[in-house]
Amino acid sequence: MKALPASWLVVAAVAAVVALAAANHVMLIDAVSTEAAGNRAFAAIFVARAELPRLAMALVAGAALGLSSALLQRVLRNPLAEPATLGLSAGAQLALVIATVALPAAMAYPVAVAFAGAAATALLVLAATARRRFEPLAVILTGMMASLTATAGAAAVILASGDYMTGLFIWGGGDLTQDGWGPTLRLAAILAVASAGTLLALRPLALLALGDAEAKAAGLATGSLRLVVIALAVWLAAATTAEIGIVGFIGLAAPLMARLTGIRSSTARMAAAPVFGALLLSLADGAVQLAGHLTGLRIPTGAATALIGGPLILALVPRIANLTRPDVLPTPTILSRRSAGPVLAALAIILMGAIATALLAGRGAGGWHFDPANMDWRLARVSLLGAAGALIGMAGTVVQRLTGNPMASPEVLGVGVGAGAGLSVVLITAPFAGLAAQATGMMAGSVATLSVLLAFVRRHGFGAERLLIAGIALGALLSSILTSVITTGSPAGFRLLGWISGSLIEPSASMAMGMAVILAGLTPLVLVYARPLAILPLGETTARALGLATTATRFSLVLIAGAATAASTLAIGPMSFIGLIAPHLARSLGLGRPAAHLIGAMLSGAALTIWADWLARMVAFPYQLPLGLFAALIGGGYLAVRFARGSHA
Amino acid sequence: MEQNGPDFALDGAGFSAGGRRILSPLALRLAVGHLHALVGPNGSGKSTFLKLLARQIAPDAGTIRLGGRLLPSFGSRAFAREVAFMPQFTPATDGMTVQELVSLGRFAWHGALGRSSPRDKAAVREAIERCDLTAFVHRPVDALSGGERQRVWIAMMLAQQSRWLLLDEPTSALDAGHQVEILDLVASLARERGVGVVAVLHDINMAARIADDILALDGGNLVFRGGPADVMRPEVLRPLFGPHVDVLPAEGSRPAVVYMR
Repeated sequence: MKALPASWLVVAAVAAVVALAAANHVMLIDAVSTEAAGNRAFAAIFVARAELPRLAMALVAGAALGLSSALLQRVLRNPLAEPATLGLSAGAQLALVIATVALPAAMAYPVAVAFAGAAATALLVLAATARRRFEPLAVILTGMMASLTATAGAAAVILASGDYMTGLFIWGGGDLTQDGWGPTLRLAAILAVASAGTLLALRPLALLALGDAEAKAAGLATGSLRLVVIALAVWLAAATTAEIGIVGFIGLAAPLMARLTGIRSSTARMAAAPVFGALLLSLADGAVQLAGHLTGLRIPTGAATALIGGPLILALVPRIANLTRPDVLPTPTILSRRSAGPVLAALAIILMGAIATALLAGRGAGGWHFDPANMDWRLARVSLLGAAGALIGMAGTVVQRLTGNPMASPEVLGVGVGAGAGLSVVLITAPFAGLAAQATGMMAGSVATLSVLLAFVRRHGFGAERLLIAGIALGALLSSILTSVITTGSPAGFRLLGWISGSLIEPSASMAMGMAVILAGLTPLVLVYARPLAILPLGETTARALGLATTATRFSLVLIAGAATAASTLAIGPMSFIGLIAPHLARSLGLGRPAAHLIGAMLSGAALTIWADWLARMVAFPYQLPLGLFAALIGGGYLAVRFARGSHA
Repeated sequence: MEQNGPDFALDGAGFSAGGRRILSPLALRLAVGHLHALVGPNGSGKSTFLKLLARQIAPDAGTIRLGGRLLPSFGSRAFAREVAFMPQFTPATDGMTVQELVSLGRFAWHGALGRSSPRDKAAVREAIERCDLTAFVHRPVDALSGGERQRVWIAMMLAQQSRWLLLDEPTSALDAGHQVEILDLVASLARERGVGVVAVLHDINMAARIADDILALDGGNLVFRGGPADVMRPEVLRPLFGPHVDVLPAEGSRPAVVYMR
């Protein structure tokens, strides 16, 4: 690992921050002077009460995020841990959104509300992964799932409260606009207290880095130390979220940069993380302000950090030697095999059951009823969702076998969001384009995303963690583009918001027919690749030794998976997680051969989607909740249960 | 150059990475039907040499021919029908059973869509019997012991029915008893079927025991080539493995033995 020259990096970053601040200052004064007709006093007030606090806020919040992540990474010994990946920020955000809508009085204490949300999320994630000894990948996946569920929940509340709440979404994207020194000083005070706490914990933390057994042998109460440090990190994350919303990537990038600058001692790294965090966030915010001055667009800073941080992570990932901690290396579970026929038959029966429930059972004004009267209009919906669920199950199986990684899925790798990026390009450049053009854009987006990822891992080696970090980074990068579009408040933005939390299209007989045609077209195509799909998980070397034309095969499979993902997200949104769960479920039922695995995943995907949608319609009757929320809940629950039972996911 | 059988012919083939020469240009011929052992210290370019033959990497200088044809001119499956390759570290097999993994060796013959013919089935059955795996056919490969697993991978190569077997330290994970077992299996296959074998071997005694032809590499150069009797001499081995190496000459039925003084 070649060290970056730390001092130069810091000097360059400081220079860039100063230059950006100066440029922004000139433009701000220019704008204010024009509006206030040369009123210098007004300009001075503006500088003192808006511009300077914002710069200070960027520095303080960046430092808080950097410190919070450094603490989490140290205590969990997980280089991917940070408030965003653990779901802390999203948990805080959900709590704040709910409080704003349902309990406005509580918003007098935003940090407390945010802390409650973030702490609940942290407890959930850690409890689910305790049995796996907080294995990094399990923690991150559970965290992502929690994060997505919370985000979907927040989006649901925002959608249900009407479009005047879109402002909440802008805040959710991380907004550093200030109108005084209050928030900055509050956060600075918290940062100061947390820094003092960190100083006290430095020595025990250094011991903990050696490993649990060693730390215990040295007389350290590892359990309570963990709890205290995590609480500190959660507090920092919650306070930051309460003041400026969700700002991702700073937490991931700052400690990573500290590590890669060649700083050796763990104490110095702990100190460097907040410094890099402060610099990164102020850089991003300066860039956002500059963009605002130049174009008049108001982009959330959180979107910009992902825009800067995403490529940064992608560039740094190859330099991470190895993330897997040898002491918690999961022992490969040998998945049992069953003969495919009976299992597939059972899955088909379960699917029939799901279809029957969705067609017949419902809630009306008079309570539950069970009658075939509504079958006609429900049929279109059920067949649309069933076909879409089967497609995402298919895409998930292909992606897992392509990458040889059972944790991969179109959702985890950002392929679904990639479809959204393609969609947003179509929505913006051709607002009146038909569904065919939109679907084409989505397919282009998802195929491009998956291709970039595969090219990336091929160049840098297929490591499970590397692929997932690259996927998470790419996904966040793309979703920051989506967030930027959504916050423009245009019709395109509102459609994207709807798509993220569930569905782009209204169920109709013709839509259902279209989805069924895509499913019927792709199924034989993917089954043709059954043998290559058995060979590919063995890795590039073996696949080539066996005579597989790997490049051409991968390309075709990427096209199939991309098309299936894009089509399914039309109906169920990008974040259903059914693409992760369905292949998993099929696999754990003993379906090991590719053809059986594919069909099993498609059947379970269809059943899960139909059930998730039925629940979304029934739980809060007469309101319909977003399908994505329920799918994420089902997926998150499934993963949590599996992790909690200590099995290898 | 006359052609008899699909021999490997290297003509100035070398490989460098990151500006560093890993394998100096080599011009040599490897005859099919023989067992060629590659020996040498760590980092001497043995694995790189094998990967060049296996077409896993392309030489950045010179050419490699198989039976007179340049390697890049073979299609993926056509090449796999000629050459089977087992990497040093075999991947996890994702819950596959022995039968399933060995059957993958037939991909080069039936492709993605072709039906599995009686010939394919016979080849798989024979490979499994040959490697003494009949009792394990329906067991997951990951559940087997190291030695059994190694035999499964060799069975997969056998099912491939290629003219060449390229093995990168096929016995690195095994104890002495299992090493002998596996290598004797490979050697007998080479003799019975006229298959060519190139194997990277760590243990010089083992190489001398089974190989017809030993190639010694050091620092990316071919420093010695000869039969077992020629190699088992202190003046050949010391430059490679250091001054402590010595050889106990053959005596009666006992072969020559390399040992550390």
